[in-house]
Order: sequence, then structure tokens, then C-alpha cells
Amino acid sequence: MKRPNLTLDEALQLIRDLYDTADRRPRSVTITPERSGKYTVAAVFD
Amino acid sequence: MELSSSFRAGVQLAAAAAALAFASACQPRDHYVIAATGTVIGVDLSINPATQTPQGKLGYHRGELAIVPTNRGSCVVARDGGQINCHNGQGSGAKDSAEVLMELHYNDIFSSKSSIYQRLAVGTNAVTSQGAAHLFSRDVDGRAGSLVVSRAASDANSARIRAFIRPGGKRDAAAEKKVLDWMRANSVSMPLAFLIDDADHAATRERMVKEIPVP
Repeated sequence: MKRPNLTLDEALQLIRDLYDTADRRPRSVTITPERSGKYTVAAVFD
Repeated sequence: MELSSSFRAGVQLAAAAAALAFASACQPRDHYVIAATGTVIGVDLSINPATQTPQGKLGYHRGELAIVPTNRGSCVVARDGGQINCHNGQGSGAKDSAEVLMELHYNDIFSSKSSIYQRLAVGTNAVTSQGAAHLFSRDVDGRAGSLVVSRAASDANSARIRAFIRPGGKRDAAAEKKVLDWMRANSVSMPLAFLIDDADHAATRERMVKEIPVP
């Protein structure tokens, strides 16, 4: 699952939320800069 | 030659699959989902008889077999009079099968543009699992670039849920548990971090807020 078009703060907040809940923990999370200057967060779950 | 031994292995694999299928058909209690695939890419060097010029073909062989037992019952027709004897399956019958996820992925086998990809999911949970979603969402190069996209679109319910599970910015574990329990009870598989402002789940949040209820 991935979410594009995030500001850096939004991307970091999403990553914090992914790890800081009792929900399923992602197996991996990547943050990728876009050409537009925004960021995409991709999370892979088992 | 390597290819011929591979070919023999493929024939043996197919024969084994056929034997198992036959065996399963003869025994009333044993039923399987059998999935078998085969691909042959060979090396063939020869002279074209028409043009007398050499020509070549390049490739590889593989075989793949999955035998998945189920609880399905069976009916056997008696030899003498066409009487049908049925054995009820166990549990939920054919719906019960072992969960199988398979993936076969080759890339750049003989050239930088070659790619072979195969996925297989057997079983209710396997088909609907996050693992299967990830498996089936990858592109032909095996990259996760085609992961399911979650577009952000916060609404009033997003803010209410955030305030509910993070009052004053601090985590409220009890409130969060209520939300996660509701998601599990309603088979919402999207992670909470995405669900909370996902553009396609506004209706889900609306129901969540009403049913928990979220103040």
C-alpha cells in the first residue's frame, strides 16, 4: 500500500502512525521523493 | 543434454500429477485442488533446410505443482446398478482447503528485458490476504511499484477519529483498541494509519464513528 503526494511532514507523520499503533506493523516502509518535490510512502505488510 | 533431462523431469512431474489426480478420484475421502504448470524454453541449433543457414532458439524449462487437500466429500457410482454412494465432507467441505500462496518470478534470464512471472493463490484466506494483495500487485519486474494506492482526503470523521485515539496528541490505547476491534469485526483490512484519511473509505469512517461511537 502506498500513499503519494505527501509533504515531508505528512510522510513522516504517516510513518510514525504506521509504527505507533497497536495495528499490524509493516514489514517494510519506504519513503521516496517525487519529481514534484512531494514524497511517496510505501508500506508492505505480511 | 541439460534440456532433455529437464524435459524428462517435466514429463515425470506431469505423470505424478496425473497419478495423484487419478488416485484422488478413486478414493472417496481424498480430494485435492491440483494446480500444475509448465513452461519450456529450449535451446535448438539447426540448419534451415530451405536456406542452408544456421538458426538458433534459446530458452529454459520449468515445472510447478501444488497439491492442496480439501475436506470435500465425494460420490461413487456403484458398478452394478448406478447406485450413488455419497460421503459427506468434513467441516465446510470443499470450502476447506489448505492456504497456498505461490510465486515464481524470473527476470533477466537471458537478456535484460526477459521476464517471467506467475502467481497462484488457493484458499479463501490466501486469496484475500494482504500477502496475496502484495503478491498480485507487483509489476512484471517484481517491483512493488504497483502497490495499492491510498489517496489522502481528510474529512470531519478523520479529525474525530484522530482526536479519539490521540487526545491532546497523546496515544489513548483503550480508544485505539476500540477502533481496531471495530475494524477487525467489520473485516476492514486497510491499516488504520491509511484508513483514517483514505479517500475511498469515507463511508467506512462514517460507520465507524456511528457504531463505536466516536464522540
